[in-house]
Amino acid sequence: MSRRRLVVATFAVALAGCGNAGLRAAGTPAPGASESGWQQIPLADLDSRPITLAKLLAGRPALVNLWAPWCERCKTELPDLDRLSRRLEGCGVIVGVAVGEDVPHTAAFVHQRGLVYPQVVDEGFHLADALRQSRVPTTLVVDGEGAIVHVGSALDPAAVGALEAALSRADADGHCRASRLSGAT
Amino acid sequence: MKRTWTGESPSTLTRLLTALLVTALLASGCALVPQNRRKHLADPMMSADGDLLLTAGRRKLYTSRESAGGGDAAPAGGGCGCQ
Amino acid sequence: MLEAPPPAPPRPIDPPVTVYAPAYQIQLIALRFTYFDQDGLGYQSAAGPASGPGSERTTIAQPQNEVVATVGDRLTERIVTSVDVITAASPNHKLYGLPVGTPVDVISSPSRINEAEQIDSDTTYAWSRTINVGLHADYHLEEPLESWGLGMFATRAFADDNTVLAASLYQVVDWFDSFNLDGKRYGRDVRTTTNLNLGVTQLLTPTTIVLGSYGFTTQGGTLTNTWNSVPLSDGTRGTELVPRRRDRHALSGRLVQWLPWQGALRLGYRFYADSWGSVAHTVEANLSQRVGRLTLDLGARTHWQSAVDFFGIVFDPAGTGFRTADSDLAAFTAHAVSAGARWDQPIGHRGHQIYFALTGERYVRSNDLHVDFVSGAVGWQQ
Repeated sequence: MSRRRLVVATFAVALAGCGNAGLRAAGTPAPGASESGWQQIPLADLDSRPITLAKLLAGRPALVNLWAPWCERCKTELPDLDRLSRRLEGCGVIVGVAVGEDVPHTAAFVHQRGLVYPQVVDEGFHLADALRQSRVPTTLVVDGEGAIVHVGSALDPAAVGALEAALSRADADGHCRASRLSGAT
Repeated sequence: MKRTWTGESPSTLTRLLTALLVTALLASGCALVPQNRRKHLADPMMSADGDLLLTAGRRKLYTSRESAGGGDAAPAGGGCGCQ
Repeated sequence: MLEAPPPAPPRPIDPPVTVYAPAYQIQLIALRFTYFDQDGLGYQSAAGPASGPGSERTTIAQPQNEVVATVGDRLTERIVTSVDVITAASPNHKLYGLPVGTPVDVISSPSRINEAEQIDSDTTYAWSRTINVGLHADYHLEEPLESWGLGMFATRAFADDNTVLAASLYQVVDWFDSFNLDGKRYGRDVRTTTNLNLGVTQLLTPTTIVLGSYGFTTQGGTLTNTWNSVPLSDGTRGTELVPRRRDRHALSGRLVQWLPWQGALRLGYRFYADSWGSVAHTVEANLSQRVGRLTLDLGARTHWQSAVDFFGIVFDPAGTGFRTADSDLAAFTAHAVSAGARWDQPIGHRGHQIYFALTGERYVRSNDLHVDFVSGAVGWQQ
């Protein structure tokens, strides 16, 4: 084999070997994501107590952020998420899900950054795998009925717009009033 | 010595490129590492080049005191009176 | 029948949340100071008997500064400035009967002290989620040489960044005064260096990275410091003569492995061959271990090279071929061992940290040369 063919063959094999089969592009909701099953996956809060997103969201529109302390892009948007959580009116909620990290490290990181919005830990990637979201950050917007209405990567105007629309629908449909009556806010 | 079908002895460079091709073939069955599983890969200790200033100083020492250079995304020579 | 109420307008979240990357942000500022102490003997040095070998004693003080900044979320700029303060950069010899110690310098002062300054700039632009492109520029100034470098590079990621291909092309031009062995300046010379690099990075497992790289460098022009000399069999010294072209190949492979006890192992091998006949093999290993906020490093390196085809320690005065006695181009084995420590200290509540680092290394060549260096750094990063 000539040397030139050998070099071309080497790089062609290196390129062809790893296809992206099995990877889901960001922005594509996972099949079955409109069902509430993923909200029942057991997670842990920062005190290591078991919790589920169903209990945390309690029928409220939410922005769920999958992140990791080692992810530079995630760390860039943490102040924005914190500000967003402080400015929400009504029954919307921002939830951070630390993926693949242990509770003590996540708790120390959250405390050091002074984040105030709710944080849970998905140490075993169960939630991320159920939603078939393999990237961090991943931003999900959930409406008042538990359906995922937006999937994106970093926090962007499209995600904030989807959350605003979900809050308006929840107000119009009376979900927020019902949640307030049940003591969820 | 084993000869190619043209009757020539394979050069050292050809042997190394063949080894790289075999490695690429083996790696072509690699399992993808999902992006959210790269916690350890993102650790600063896993940086192949380490501290860039220290690496640049070492590179200058080695390339000015040895005949060899390159293979690290930098020119093998030139750029100063030391080389 | 009542009509359905119109849909409610989206409720704005007021005030608006900033979801864009900051316009301009400093990511890293680092200062490093390195001190090199070299001693040994080499036949290219006239700082000794005419038949050699002469002294290669030199010291180098090297402060460096690095700044990395981002503009928006696509542009990254890295600027490095460094200064080398070098003693005995040119020969201080007793040729032509002058007393030993007389600074008969082929250039004005570098046998005593020489300063070299360099600035490097790298600009990287995230063209898309998978493609980065960039430009490199550098300028180097010392007595009696100026050097300009310009390059471009690009990376392309595949399979969710599991595989990254990199390519770069650099062009360096060195422009310098030429001197003969009497110290007379006879004009200016130029040498060019063109370098092409191809690399691939592959994530093998959640804890393993492998890298492969091939670099080709071709150099042309005057490829010697014009004051280098060779011992002649008649007891005098003659001018070093080297080819005006040199093609250099380097093929390297590296593996980086995470160790489950908060450590990392880096292994590397490089094969080198050039058109002057030198072949070299280099093996490196580095072990890092984190203990709380302290990171410890241990490194070892072994380099073996063959001599270039025209190397010798004495030459025929009537000879007309290429000749060099440069100890750097001889056959030798070099070993290096290093140790380092780094302390990372978080500050504030926005994820900033400062660090302090100290590294020492001893480099020993089998042909009578050794270099010790110690390097300290302090930095701030996001």
